[in-house]
Amino acid sequence: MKGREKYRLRFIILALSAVAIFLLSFFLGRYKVGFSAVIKILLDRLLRLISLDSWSMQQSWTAAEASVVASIRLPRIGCAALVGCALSVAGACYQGMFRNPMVSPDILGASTGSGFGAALSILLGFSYAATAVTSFASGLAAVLVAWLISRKSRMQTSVAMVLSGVMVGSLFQSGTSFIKLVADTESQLPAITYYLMGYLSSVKAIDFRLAVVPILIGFVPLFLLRWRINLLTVSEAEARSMGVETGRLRFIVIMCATLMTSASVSISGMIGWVGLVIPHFCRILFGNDYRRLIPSCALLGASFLMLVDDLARIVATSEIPLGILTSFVGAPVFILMILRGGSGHED
Amino acid sequence: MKIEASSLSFSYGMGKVLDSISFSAQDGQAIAVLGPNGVGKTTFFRCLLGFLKPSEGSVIVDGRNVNDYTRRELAHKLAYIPQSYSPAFNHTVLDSVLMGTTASMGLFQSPGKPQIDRAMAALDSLGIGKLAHRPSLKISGGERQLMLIARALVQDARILIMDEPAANLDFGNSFHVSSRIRNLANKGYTVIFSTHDPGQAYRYANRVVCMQGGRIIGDGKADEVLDEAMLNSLYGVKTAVRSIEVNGRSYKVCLPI
Repeated sequence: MKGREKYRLRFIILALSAVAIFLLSFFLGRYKVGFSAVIKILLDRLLRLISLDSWSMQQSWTAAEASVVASIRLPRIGCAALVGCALSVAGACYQGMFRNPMVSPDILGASTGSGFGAALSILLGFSYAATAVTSFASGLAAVLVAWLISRKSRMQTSVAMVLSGVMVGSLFQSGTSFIKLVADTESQLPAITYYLMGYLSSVKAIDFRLAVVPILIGFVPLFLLRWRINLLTVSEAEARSMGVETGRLRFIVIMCATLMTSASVSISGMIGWVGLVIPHFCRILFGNDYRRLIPSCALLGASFLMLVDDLARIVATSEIPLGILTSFVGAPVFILMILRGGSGHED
Repeated sequence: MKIEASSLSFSYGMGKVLDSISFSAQDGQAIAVLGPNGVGKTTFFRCLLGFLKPSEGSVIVDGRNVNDYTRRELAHKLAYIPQSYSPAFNHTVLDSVLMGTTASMGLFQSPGKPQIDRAMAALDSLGIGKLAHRPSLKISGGERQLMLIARALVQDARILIMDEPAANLDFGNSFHVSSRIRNLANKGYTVIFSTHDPGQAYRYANRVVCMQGGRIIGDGKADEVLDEAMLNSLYGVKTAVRSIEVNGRSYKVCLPI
């Protein structure tokens, strides 16, 4: 079939570019590391990982190089890929669930909830890991509250969910504003502000390890259920008549997408637009079928955020927060979407 | 396969929408449900499909209460064809039809070659195979209605419930879609459809059910049930029903006067 081959080719190109961007990212930054050193250090890490430290490469690089590549850039690039992938897939799934291409992962309050949790932890002087965990839990709590309210409502499910999500989101937003008001202006306020703008400059290996588990737990079911998510985009009555228990499926999709969103925000702060813009691009490139949309969003989202993070590292002498860069890219695209009529039509 | 409603009542809050309806349908019947707007046709269909739980009485499908089936089991008995199709995203015609195969697949399964073959066969049988790779929102209303019928066919259900299948179609498309509906009944499907056009009931249905005030006030062959008096009481309009001969066949037409 012609269409399928076209999509397959595009997917291969996308996958290869993701790998290329991943490798390229190791060479960007103020400290220059040679090509062979990067490759050898990465191979060495990989060998140690799969052999549980019993194998390693013969060391032909300096300790400084090893530290820059393995301890600073690897976690940072890994986190950028992870967060980009998670936000895009979550965004695509929320869009299908709410039957609306303009929906982003913030819709049910997952990111504002996580932002509030992080601000609170900074105010209370929590440790680095505890901040991430609090932020994650608070994002989940926000969505859970929104979901419970919508269950009690007599309105149409998705309308009730959007309304309660917006309400809970704004409540957490106000909570965050209040924390900023009472935070110490010398140390805490800048930390909170910086966090809310989205950043990856200080991520450590532990961030990656903390986030990768919930993100995988969210991703795997969505990937497995990707055909069925298509049926959430037709009317409720049609989906049910075709044998889908829509209530249950919707709950699983919300929980998985929320896990991914909260885990992302807990390590990277609030990075907007990725979850809105990447699914839209994928719809143009790969059509609206979630069988292709989910894997392509994962790859394109990862590539996009790795690139934006590269940009953040090299453009200015002091780093620009990612949230600012992504909205510089995202806002024009969104305007384009509105002018084009909004929905992701195939070709 | 038999679908049967016995003394079915349904009320939203205080108002009774359906008032002890008894009805049963069998293979090979094309049943037109007529009645003015707001008479409970949609509620009746929603009860038949198991979307609503009746306040009294029950709906029995193939020997079992409709509310006792899982959605997946029921999808193999009943298919629903909505009046209009408005998905949030523009899937291709083939993908839209493939959605009908979901109930026959595992939870994590995606449609593969067998499903695609079935979907293509259904599209071909309705004469729209060449549209398979077109976006479903960029085909004509009649073609989209046929696509939804194809989707119901791959679902392997024997009872098809259609909400005003020809309501939004132009003169020609309305004819094409309606004749397909009659063909399906001739092939042994049970087709229950609502319509606002008595002419369609004469032409394509072999049974007519007339509803008023949440009750069935007439049930039988179109020629017998749908006379001038019935049309007058259903719609409150004086109507003349006449037969006209074309090429040796007689057709019934009705005219409000």
